[in-house]
Amino acid sequence: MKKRWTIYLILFVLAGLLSSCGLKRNNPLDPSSDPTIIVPEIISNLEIYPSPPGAANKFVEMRWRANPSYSTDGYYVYRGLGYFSTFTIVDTVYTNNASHGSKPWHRVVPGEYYYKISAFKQYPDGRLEGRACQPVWVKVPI
Amino acid sequence: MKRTILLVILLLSASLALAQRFDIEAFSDSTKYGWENYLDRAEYREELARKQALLQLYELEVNSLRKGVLKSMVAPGWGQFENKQSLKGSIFLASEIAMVGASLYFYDRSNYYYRRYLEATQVEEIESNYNAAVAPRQYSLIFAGVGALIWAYNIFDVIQSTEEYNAKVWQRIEAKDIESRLRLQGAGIEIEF
Repeated sequence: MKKRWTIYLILFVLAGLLSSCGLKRNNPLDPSSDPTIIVPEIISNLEIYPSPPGAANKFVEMRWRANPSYSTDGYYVYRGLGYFSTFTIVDTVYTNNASHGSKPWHRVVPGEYYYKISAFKQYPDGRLEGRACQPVWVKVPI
Repeated sequence: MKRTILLVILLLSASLALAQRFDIEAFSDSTKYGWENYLDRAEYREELARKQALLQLYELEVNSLRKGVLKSMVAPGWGQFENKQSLKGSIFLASEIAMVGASLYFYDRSNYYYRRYLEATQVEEIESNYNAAVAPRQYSLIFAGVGALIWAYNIFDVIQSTEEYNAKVWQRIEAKDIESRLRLQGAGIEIEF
């Protein structure tokens, strides 16, 4: 009798554990949980042009092929000091081109940099950012 | 009135006729218990008193099964400690602490990545944090499952070990009693019955 109750107890505990298995995908921007969420594509054909040598205001101009409007509302511009280094968002744009150095808070000094772009889509719960493209090297001359 | 008296008399006579005669001889016959004489009866009484005394000792030393189970439910191994099985109790306690500790550690790791997953807005971060949260959660569940099995087995074991312990207590009390009745004397060994 006692043995039987012990077996029931073990089965009850195991059933409780098994029923609590699995993590819920509760992120409202998770495309795996919500099929209506569209992930912005990786941008392509990124071209980068630095300011000419001797320019008073240094800048870096970028152009890329625009993503379809149903999947993309804007783009983040990232800059890093190395290919595998940490990248920081330096600008947010809504067209398929950017000029880093054109705005008062931009700071571009001569040197070597890596730029990469990622697209984002605005949803009621926030912005879903897609994968960034491969970093592209640029040298800003003195 | 006459009718009532007649009815009472009838009932009385019927009850007397139905009543069995109390057999005083059968009642006082001591041979039915296997006692041949007064000495036999006295010996039986003495044996009964001795057994009652042993039972009292047993009641004092015996471990309650219910209490043992409750103790082992609260802290695995506690019931085994009560049954003087320190090694087994230590193993149960240590393994339960290890399993619960490991389960909590992985649960915490999983929660750390899961919180990052919930806050992530970048598709790669969403995926990587979710994947990073899944594995520790599974480990946490496995350790919790093993911990639950150890806990359940510990309860099963305390039932058995308490019964064994109580049987041993009785054997020891009986052995001690027999020992106390064995006396070494100059003329030899005397056993008191």
